[in-house]
Amino acid sequence: VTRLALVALAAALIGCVAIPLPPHDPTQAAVRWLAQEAGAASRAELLLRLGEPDLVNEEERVLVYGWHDPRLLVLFAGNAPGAVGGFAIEKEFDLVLELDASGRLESHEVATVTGLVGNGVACTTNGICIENTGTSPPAMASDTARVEARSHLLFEANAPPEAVEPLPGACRALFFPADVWPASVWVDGRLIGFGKRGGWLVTTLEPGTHRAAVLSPQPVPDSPEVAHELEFGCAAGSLSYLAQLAVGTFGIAAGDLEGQARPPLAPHGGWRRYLSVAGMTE
Amino acid sequence: LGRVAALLLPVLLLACAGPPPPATAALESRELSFLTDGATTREQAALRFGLPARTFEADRIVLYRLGWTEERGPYPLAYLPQAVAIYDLVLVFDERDVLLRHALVAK
Repeated sequence: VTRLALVALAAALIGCVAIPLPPHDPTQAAVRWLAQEAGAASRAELLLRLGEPDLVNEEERVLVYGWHDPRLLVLFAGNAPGAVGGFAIEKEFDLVLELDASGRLESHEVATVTGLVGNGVACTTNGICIENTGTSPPAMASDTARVEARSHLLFEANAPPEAVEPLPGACRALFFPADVWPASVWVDGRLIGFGKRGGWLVTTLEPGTHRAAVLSPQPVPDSPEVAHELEFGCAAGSLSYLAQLAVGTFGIAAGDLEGQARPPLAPHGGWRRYLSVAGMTE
Repeated sequence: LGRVAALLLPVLLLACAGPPPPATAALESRELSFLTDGATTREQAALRFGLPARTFEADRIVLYRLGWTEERGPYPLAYLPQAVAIYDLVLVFDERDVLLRHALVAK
């Protein structure tokens, strides 16, 4: 802190100062473990040790861990009161792990971009290149990709419910989870997805009795604006709603539609709320 | 003098930052003790942590990014924008959706 104070004082007096910082290799500990202990570690063992990679290829056979090592600290001050700023120029290190077809570690290598500024492309000797965009956040799988990986499930996050194509010969359930986090949606004991602000989940159901649940460890405020809504329909070519249901904090409210009987409800204690819809036939 | 004070202020604030986040071992024994290899189910983990940051091997391996605050303890970073620390929680499940191994990695 004392050194930083002196630097700040110098910057204040002369307007701008650049301080070179001692370089170090932030990948050292990981590389040492990989070289001495990891052997042909499995994908799970690598993740358990190193955590979430910053980049992963589609086949999950290339895992990239990025580090930033600040090399130059620049502080500046203007004439106006409070006109002060600073930034660090960093060097990027990308630890690239290659896995074989069975998901075991095949090789590891650190790729760095020449120069201090992170923008650029770094390649390993095996020809794996990583584009460094400097300030971009770690890459994350999108919700769409993650959920589409499950069969028989459609996740529509960017289109209104009307745009969802009806699935002939099957019943559908549309879920509009309330903005309560984290809220997971389950059908017949199977997790079909997680609630997302402004999004909804669509799954196909065979005619019959199904149990749906919206689970959240947080209490759901008992108001229509935040209730979970579930709509079930079983029509070929067009969607006809059999029931519109809302799940509240302390119970389940069901609205009758066009003479349809109120479906039997099976509420459970605590924050877990179940509901059942019977007689879903075409 | 005002300019000096303005430059020194961030330095002083850095020196007066809050307590450091707990080490992973302390956090695991104190607030993540409900995670038990061979016993905790995928459902229990999902109910506690919600949407994973990433999954591998067809959801067999699940990763959560956790922040930490004194008030809430470890919590999914997506729901905790004011988090002061980041950990990766790695959960490996078996074919019965029971936790096989887990680790908390400080980032």
